[in-house]
Amino acid sequence: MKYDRAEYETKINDSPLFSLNKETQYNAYRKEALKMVEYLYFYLCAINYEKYSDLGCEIVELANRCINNYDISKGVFLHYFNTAWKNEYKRIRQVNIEDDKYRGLHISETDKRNVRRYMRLAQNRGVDCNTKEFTECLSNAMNLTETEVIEIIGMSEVAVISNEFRNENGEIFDLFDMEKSTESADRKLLQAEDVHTVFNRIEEVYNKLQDRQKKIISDVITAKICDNLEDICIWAEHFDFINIEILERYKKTGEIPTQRDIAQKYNRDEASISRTLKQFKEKLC
Amino acid sequence: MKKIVICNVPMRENVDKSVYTSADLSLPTSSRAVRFPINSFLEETLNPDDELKLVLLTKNDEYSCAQKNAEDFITEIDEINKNIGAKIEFTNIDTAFSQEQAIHEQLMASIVDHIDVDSHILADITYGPKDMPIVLFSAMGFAEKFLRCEIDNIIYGQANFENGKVVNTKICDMIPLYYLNSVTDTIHCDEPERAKHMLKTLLSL
Repeated sequence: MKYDRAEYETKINDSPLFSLNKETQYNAYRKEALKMVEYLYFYLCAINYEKYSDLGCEIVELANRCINNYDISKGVFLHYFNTAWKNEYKRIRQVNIEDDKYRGLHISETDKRNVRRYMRLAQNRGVDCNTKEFTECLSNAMNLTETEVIEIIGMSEVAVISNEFRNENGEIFDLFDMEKSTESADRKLLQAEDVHTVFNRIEEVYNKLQDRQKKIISDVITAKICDNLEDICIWAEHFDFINIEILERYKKTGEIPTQRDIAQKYNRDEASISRTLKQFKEKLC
Repeated sequence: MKKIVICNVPMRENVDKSVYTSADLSLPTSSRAVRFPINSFLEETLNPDDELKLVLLTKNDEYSCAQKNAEDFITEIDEINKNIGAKIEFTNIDTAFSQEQAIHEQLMASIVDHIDVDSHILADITYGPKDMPIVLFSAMGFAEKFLRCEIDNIIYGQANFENGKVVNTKICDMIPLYYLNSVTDTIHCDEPERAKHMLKTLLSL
């Protein structure tokens, strides 16, 4: 079946959905919302049927989120949806690639991250990660079998070396975006076009903070993203909100301060650190 | 605007008039007491430049009063239209009161024959035998997919009965269910559990 992209763009843009009141015009609202979901699905099929037609469930879920979260301040709805879909599709691709990579092994995000950290630490100290001693040590430390450790090391090496990789279709994916997507990071933050845009936005909001808040936010954000910072362009280190000390310590030892460590450093409790971060995130969006 | 109104006509005698209410601003009703809920809605939504084709679906057997009720419908809408001035034409599709497959298919084909391309369709499924809404849904699905029609409303007049008298009448619109069916018919999903999850998502819209 051939789908006409222009036809569905028009239907989406001309939809009366967002002029209806969900509470007082609920029949009309529900009808137009369901039609919008269908239009969005057909629109994506018109763009690339092979890529998107089997992602009906994902499209429906994203359409639902976009319809519920959209307001006119976010610009044209179709542009808003397209940006969201771009990020969602990247996440879907990464999950599929990681499923292939890990060949059915169920590895938690924490374990994957820890393996990379241990490998980085080992490499920095000149230890060969491909020895039996190393795999035995890692197996004991992470409570995994040696076979599992060997599989993970073999598959993790690609991710450790570069933040970008190319899939079989030649598309380039940025590790930072995908990792944060699969780690259930704040979705609103991820709707920015790329890392540079995100960093600029963080910097903008960060510079408006009071000094005492800046120190905490700098530590917390650096701790959260330094796993990937090393692999991102050098310019990332020139942002004020990056704590260079934390970053350097991570590069040397693989250590990342926990929220508890940060709370103790500033003589606060963990809940207070969480609240500060939450307020900061709200200002970002 | 070209509108097709398809209405199931009751077979029983003495269809009472009622004032139908609505809590939904997108489903307005008039304060006039009517026999057919769709007429209460049409009084509030019909425009002078509308071209209305009324397709009345009647069932006949030796006891049926459907023809008399169809005449009452025409009288009712003519009265309403006096103040509006829309162009209205009437047509009646009469079939035997039978649950045979051949009758269902004949009825569906007849309904489709009377639907004009590029029109807006409204239906009233309040009255009539239980097979009628299913036949209508099939005809409307065909019209939407192949005749470039838009399904606007599927009206149902809800009523309670107290000592045999009709009370608490209000109109409902089943159009969200129709479009839910349309969406689920369209989307590909090979995994049953994910499909169930998708349905829950659609129901939460």
